[in-house]
Amino acid sequence: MSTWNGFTPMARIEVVIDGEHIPTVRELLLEAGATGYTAVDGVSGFGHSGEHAGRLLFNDRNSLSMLISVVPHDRVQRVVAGIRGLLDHHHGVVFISETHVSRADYFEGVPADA
Amino acid sequence: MTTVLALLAALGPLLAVPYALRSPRTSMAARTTVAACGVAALASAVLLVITGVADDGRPSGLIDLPDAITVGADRVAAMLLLAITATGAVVASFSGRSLDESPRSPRYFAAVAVVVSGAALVATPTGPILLVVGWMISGWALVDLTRGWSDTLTARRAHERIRSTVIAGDVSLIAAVVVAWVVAGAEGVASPAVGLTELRAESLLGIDAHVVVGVLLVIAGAARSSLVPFHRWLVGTLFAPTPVSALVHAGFVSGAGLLLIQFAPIAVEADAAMVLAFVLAVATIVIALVASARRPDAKGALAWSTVGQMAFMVVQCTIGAFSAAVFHIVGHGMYKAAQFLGVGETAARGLRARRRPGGLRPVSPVAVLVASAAIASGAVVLGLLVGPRDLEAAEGIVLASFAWLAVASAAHGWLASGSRKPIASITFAALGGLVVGVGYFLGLRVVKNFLDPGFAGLGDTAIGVAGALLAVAVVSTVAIVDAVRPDLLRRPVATVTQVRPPLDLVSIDPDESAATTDSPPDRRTMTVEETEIDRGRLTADVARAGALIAPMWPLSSFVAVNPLGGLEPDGFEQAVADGERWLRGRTVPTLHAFRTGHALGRSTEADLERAIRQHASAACERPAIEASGRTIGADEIVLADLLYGPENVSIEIPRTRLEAIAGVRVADQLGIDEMVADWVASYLTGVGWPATAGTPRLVTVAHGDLQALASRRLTQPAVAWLDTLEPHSHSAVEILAASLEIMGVEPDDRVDEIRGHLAAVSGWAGIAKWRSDWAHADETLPPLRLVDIAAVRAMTTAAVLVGIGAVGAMSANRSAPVQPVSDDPAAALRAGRIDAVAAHFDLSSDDDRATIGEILDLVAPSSRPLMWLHAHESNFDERMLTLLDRPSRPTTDERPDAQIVLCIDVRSEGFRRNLEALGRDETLGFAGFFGVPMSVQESGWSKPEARCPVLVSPSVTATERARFDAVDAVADRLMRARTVGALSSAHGATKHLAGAAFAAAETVGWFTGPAAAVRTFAPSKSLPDARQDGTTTIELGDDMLTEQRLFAAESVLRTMGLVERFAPVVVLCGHTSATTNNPHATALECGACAGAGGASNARTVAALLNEPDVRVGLVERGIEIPDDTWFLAGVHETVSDTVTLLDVDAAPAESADAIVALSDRLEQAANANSAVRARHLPGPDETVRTRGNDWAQVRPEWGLATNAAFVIGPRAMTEDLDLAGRAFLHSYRPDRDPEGAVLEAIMTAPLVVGHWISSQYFFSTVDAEAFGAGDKLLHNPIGTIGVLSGAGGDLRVGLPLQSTHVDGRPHHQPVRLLAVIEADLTVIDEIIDRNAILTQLVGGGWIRIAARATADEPWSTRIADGTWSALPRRIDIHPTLEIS
Repeated sequence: MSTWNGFTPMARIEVVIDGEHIPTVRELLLEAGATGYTAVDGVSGFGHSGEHAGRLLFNDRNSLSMLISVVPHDRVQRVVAGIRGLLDHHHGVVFISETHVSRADYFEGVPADA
Repeated sequence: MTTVLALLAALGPLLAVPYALRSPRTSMAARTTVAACGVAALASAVLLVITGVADDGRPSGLIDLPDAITVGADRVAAMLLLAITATGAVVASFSGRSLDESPRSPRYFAAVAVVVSGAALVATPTGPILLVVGWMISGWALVDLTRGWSDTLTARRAHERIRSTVIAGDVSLIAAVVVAWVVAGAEGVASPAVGLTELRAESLLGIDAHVVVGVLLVIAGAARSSLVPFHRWLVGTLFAPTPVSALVHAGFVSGAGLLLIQFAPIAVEADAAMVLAFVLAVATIVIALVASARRPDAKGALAWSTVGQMAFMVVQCTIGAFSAAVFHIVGHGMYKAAQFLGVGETAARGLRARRRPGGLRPVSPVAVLVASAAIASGAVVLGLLVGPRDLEAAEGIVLASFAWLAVASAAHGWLASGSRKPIASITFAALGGLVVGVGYFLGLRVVKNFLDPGFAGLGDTAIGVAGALLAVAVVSTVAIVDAVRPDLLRRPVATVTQVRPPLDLVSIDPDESAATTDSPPDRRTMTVEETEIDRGRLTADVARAGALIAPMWPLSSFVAVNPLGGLEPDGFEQAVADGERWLRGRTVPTLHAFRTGHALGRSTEADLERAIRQHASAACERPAIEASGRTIGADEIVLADLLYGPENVSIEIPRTRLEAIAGVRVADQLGIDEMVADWVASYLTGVGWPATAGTPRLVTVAHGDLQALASRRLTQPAVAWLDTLEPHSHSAVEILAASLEIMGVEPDDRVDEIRGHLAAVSGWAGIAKWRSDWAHADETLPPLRLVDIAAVRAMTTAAVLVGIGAVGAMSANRSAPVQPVSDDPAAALRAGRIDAVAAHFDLSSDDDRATIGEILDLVAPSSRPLMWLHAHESNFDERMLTLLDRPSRPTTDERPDAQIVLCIDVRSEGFRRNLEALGRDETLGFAGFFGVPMSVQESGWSKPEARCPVLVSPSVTATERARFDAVDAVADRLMRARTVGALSSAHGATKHLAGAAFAAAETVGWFTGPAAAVRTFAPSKSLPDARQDGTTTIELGDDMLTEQRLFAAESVLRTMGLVERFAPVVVLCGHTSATTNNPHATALECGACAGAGGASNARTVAALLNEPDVRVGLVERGIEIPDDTWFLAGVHETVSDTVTLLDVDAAPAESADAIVALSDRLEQAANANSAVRARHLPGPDETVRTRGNDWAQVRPEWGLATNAAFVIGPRAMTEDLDLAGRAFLHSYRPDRDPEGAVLEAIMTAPLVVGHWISSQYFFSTVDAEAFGAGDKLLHNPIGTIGVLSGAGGDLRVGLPLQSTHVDGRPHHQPVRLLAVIEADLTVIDEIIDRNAILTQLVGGGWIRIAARATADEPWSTRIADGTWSALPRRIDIHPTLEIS
């Protein structure tokens, strides 16, 4: 794999979706071989489906959440196919971007279900 | 005299039969049966004394009856009679309080009496006729008792097996008696010692007659005692109520022992019979030991353990240890009866075990082994020294060996739990082991000395010794293999434990039109990239299919959920349609149920007419019918259809490929769901799961099991296909993909196919959904996902389809079965509706009928129950809102004596009203976790537990610590908890080491049996304390910053609207429910505390609000709490209604008097409120506050039944009004929340949880079988996870029948939740619009909203398009909300 300044290119996946679907996205990522993710609960904003309130006082499940993960390129297809399948029926967005990581071995572990 | 006593003891229970059969009420039938069994037990006790004092154990005073019907008496019989009849009385009394009124009750109690009497007759030395009569009536009464409690195919098959086994037993016994009678005369049967001589002299077909009789007796006994080959029937009795199991296991099932003991003189001489009995018993022991260790369900493990115990009893008889066998029958019978009656404790016991403090430094495993062996050896040697004199060698070997196993396993369990430091632990174990060993042998000695005069010795000692050694060797081998290589005994999972063998392809009846034998279509092999994309989509497909499945919380924290929660985005009407189609349950009440409610006044014709105008407007616009001078409007036609039309018909539509081919019942026929359920249960509990390195995956084990089964029950293609899965056997997604592919499921059909598989085991799927989506990171149950369940079930059905050659290109047929199979039911329904309406209006002409048909065609059948629902709901809404529609009340500046903040739970409503009626206190309603999402680490717990609504994650931990002046007391308590844990571990160990339970159960039973009787006849009447000083404090962690503490304190006070006018005492009162023997106990706990009691939350938040720093900080934030205000914690126990004030001595001295006075008022309120509750609970009124202590009580309280509304507003809105316990009450002050921030918090969390609770009650009431957990008496707990009904199958979801129904009719009224809010309507609209969850719930018709801005305005309801419609004011009427 070519490197840039000693960094390894990888794909960064960001998903913004209702908190209740986060477990599904998490499973998709792990099934596809992502070795980790970062979750941000209670994100607020405005977009295609209108205004979204941020964090609620006593409810973490029913506000928007964002999940960020970085995976090797060969695992992106699977994640994206799954998330698109999910977004066919629910509100939310997914972004894929090119990113570079310094410790490639952190992101190249074996898939969870193997 | 003696004869009369013997007759009374054996036949006394029968006296109850005519009275029980005529009793109009369950309680009367029960009392009669208890009395009759009690009289029999008394007679048995007297008989025991009389025979005891007689020198040879054969009392004088026997009447000389004809030999055929003679009745004798001896010590053995007297002891057995006492045990059998006393257990009968306990079972009848227990049943009397746990069975509802039902037409079946009289017959139930009559059958109980007959079983007891029959078993007693068999235990009595009688002539041939009474023996056969006793044997047969008990068998057939049991057949009657176990019939028809469960409607599944498995249950029916299990019952068929019970029936055929009873027949086999009857035939054998009758044959034995006839042979003996013919050869030796009636006297020869009545006195086998006499009969033996004559039997010896005769031969039948060249075989000695006594051998023929012996063999026939052994076969009869094997049938009754569940020995090979009859070993499967006993587990089938689990489909009957729990008390029936107690009865069966206590006496009935010991039939083989009773026969062999009574016919000992003949049996010991008939070598062939003894050898046969021995062989059957040893074979049975091996099967039963393996099976009982394999069962994850409590009752299944008990039943299989009994099978082993019965075999052990027969082994004892075959080696001549008859008195030991009597000791066993009585001890084990009482033990099992108590275990069954208390089976509801399983979940609570598991929860206690999980919380128990960790062991101290454990003794090393080798030391534990050596110490256990040494202790057991010492105990046995000492025991033999003080034990029975003149033991036969064989008897000695068996008794010593099994006593050794029991003591060794118990000592091992104790030592391994690390309850004390090693030396102390070993010392206690040694002392305990010696006491138990000596006690056991002394007990045996007493019993043997008492009984021995009655027994013939064993003829050939050498054979006895050989048998004893063989039995010990076999059991030891099983125990050793089980300990060293459990995988050898425990695979395949799904073969040992089934009530019937699964996957029997013979019973498949493929629908020829749907089945094809084409080979799978040739598929282009997918590229690596295509496969990746496909698997990603498949994961999304599983998620979509899984929307049907509601998460199910385990019994350790049974949080209420909407069973159709995943379908909420589709709206109520679509969700109930989809729920019915996929989950095969009724999702809306029947027309009959609505009409019954209508007759009770829960709706009026005006309500119905309004519903018709709103929801059948197209039909209403049709022209009226003019007939014989009358005008009948279209709306009247629709009304008549609602009032008199026939019920809707439900058609079961195939859900999966296999169902489309082989019928919708195929999974039941093949036991597929039993098998999947067994895999999942074994996986989650680890019971019987292969103990290879690491936790083997569900799919891996299921695949291995299927391969093993396939070679015997499926065909070669299935075997070959399963082999192709080998490389994927570790991946659920790959297995699922391969299974769907081989079944020819096209990508577009995958969601439906997967949904069908999940729906078939929706309970286990619910647990999987909870485990993967909701469980906390520290959850101890192993991971489980929906895809795992979908994969194993799809793989199983695919193997079946491959096995019958029905795979491949079926997509052409696929869509057909998804549509209703035939139009006939629909046409019949249409005709029926027209008939009903025409008959009502007395119209008969074809034209009129045609017109009616045209009108009714505009009213879809499925819309009829929905219109009824609207009518009932609008009736309730009108009552509720009219009640609440009153002018604003003057506010007062006076400080109340105390302010009590109770949970919003509907059970607080009555209590608050009754407390306020005393005129001194003010009450508020707030979610019972008091606003700080926390984990709680109580003193002595192994780890913290979440104590907040499941919608939030705990952000802080509150820790309970010993107070400085109570360190020793707390340490003592911890030590006691460890000791209890170690004892429990010792008891558990005797169940887990093969063979250890034989001596352990028969010993423990002599203590637990009488204890069970006391619990049944004299349940505790104790109430919780009114005040507790406490030895601990509980506080939020130091890591919580001052700023965070202040934020928490401020948000709690502001959210509950308590920011001024603080009383001198403010009680934060959580709630709990103390019930015993109740698997669903946590369903009665606080929902806001994740299904647990709320005392710790209340203590923590009260302590927070008393912190001086927090008080100072609050002043800066505009909340000034007077110096003389003290926050006190309390806990409301909802069965007794007792409020216990906690940490009372921590309060300042000047509050002491106020606290004493308050607790007196709380007690008055408790009395007043429970008097009202008593009116709605069956049973004597005086038990209402203590029924939680009664282990036979299936309805300790009504929980949240009848809930219907959620009120958000100031208390002035509801004060003094009787809301009949039907409303959640959340305090809210709109004047202090102009932006609606507080209201938003309430509407997005407590209201949502209220909706879950409301939905759970709704659907559990509408279909108690599909969405409720069914009858509690059939519940069979699986650890702390859930319950099964009967012997297997899917996990039950929802609330038990007894939580929603009474005496066969619903107590809860299923209506959707009405939210009643005092707030600006625009603010409410904005909150709904910006929260998708509320848009979904309100817009989708799950929640109705009524609101007003101030008390001076009328109530408005929010209609579908988001506009508001004001309700007319009716201050002239005062409706009641009391449920009729």
